[in-house]
Amino acid sequence: MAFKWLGVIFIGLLVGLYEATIRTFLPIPLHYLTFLLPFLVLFVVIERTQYAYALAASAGLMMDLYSIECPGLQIWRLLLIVAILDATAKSVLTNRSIYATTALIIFAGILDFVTSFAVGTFFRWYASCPRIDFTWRDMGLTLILETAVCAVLFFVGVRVFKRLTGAR
Amino acid sequence: MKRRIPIYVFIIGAMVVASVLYGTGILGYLDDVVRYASLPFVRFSAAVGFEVADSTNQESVGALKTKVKDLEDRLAATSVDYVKLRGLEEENRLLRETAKFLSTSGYDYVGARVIGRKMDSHTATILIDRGSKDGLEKGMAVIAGDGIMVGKIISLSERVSTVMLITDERSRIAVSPAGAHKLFGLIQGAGNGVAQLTLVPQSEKLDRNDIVVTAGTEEKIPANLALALVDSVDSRPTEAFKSATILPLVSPDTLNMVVVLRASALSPQ
Repeated sequence: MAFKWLGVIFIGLLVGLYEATIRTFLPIPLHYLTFLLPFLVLFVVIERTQYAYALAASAGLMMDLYSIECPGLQIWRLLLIVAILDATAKSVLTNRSIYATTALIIFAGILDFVTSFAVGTFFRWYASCPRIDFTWRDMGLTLILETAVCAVLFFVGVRVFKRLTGAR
Repeated sequence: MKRRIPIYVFIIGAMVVASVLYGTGILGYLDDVVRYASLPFVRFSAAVGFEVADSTNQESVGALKTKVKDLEDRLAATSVDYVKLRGLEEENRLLRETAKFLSTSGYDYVGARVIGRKMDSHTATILIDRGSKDGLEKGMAVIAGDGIMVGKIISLSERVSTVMLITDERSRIAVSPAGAHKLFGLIQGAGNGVAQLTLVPQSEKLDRNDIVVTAGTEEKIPANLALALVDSVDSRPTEAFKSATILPLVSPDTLNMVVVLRASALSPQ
């Protein structure tokens, strides 16, 4: 059991490291490739929300420690996103299919943009942080790639689970 | 039956506790410990990111040929100035060695690796793996390559610092022409990797391919650090000042290692 928690926290730290450093160097379109929200959504879909919280906290910690110039309150933002996703999944989703996962990842992506924009606007007013550069193209490309990554992880996860449990 | 407290309450409560801890400095100490432990991994991942970016940065053959031709033409045009500049550089080098410039001016330097960057239409900032523990302060000049200034420190913690590049919209640096010791304009960042030289009096000579250097009027930025090349000049006789589009001498995409110039009085023991 402890190994599972350690594994999740380790994945969270790696994902946070990718978001904070590697991704900032990547050119377009690789720059839009992100793994954080797909992992969070998948943990919510398979009803392992506690792992989603642990991953959000560890990834958010790395992103906050190495944020450029202004804080993004990543830990709290990501924890709130997981809480909202969990509540939405429990009240709205009727199954755990790839279609439900796709709907949830799109919702998560929109939540991510809205909360980032809100936090960025607050710090622009409070701490004279630079203007937020938001374009519909950025949001669209990020959502498309997040959905694709989530779908790939979903299918890989199902295959691995079936192989491990011998289920058909 | 006990009513379960919603998770939102825990999250908001934790935020409030964290804000109090941050305000008292306890969280700041923990931040420093975690950064100290994670910096080697951050440096490695930044190196991986830089190598991936470098290997995927491919331009078409036609575009490269056009760029090479343009650079060759500009090189030819500056060849005479280049000879003069080399002569002056050699003289400067000898004078500096004789006067032991670095030790008497009070500046020493510390190398740093770029571990993150943020480039968009408004901002141009990088994160380096040196902070106040290495004797850095806000406003210090950051250079790359052969002493070419790329930006200055705008914020820092104990282990990392944020550097604002000259093309950032908020960047303002006082400049003078190469070889002259007078303030004659201001380089203002315009976002999108571009900057403008403004507030140059009409009486001042300014031509394409001129090199502009720091004027030395800012406290922690020494004079005569090369900054940029003049690309095109906009001069109208009806206006008091002329302006120019400038090309930074170092592309932000190539920034992997930089050097921060610091006052030796503050360097760690």
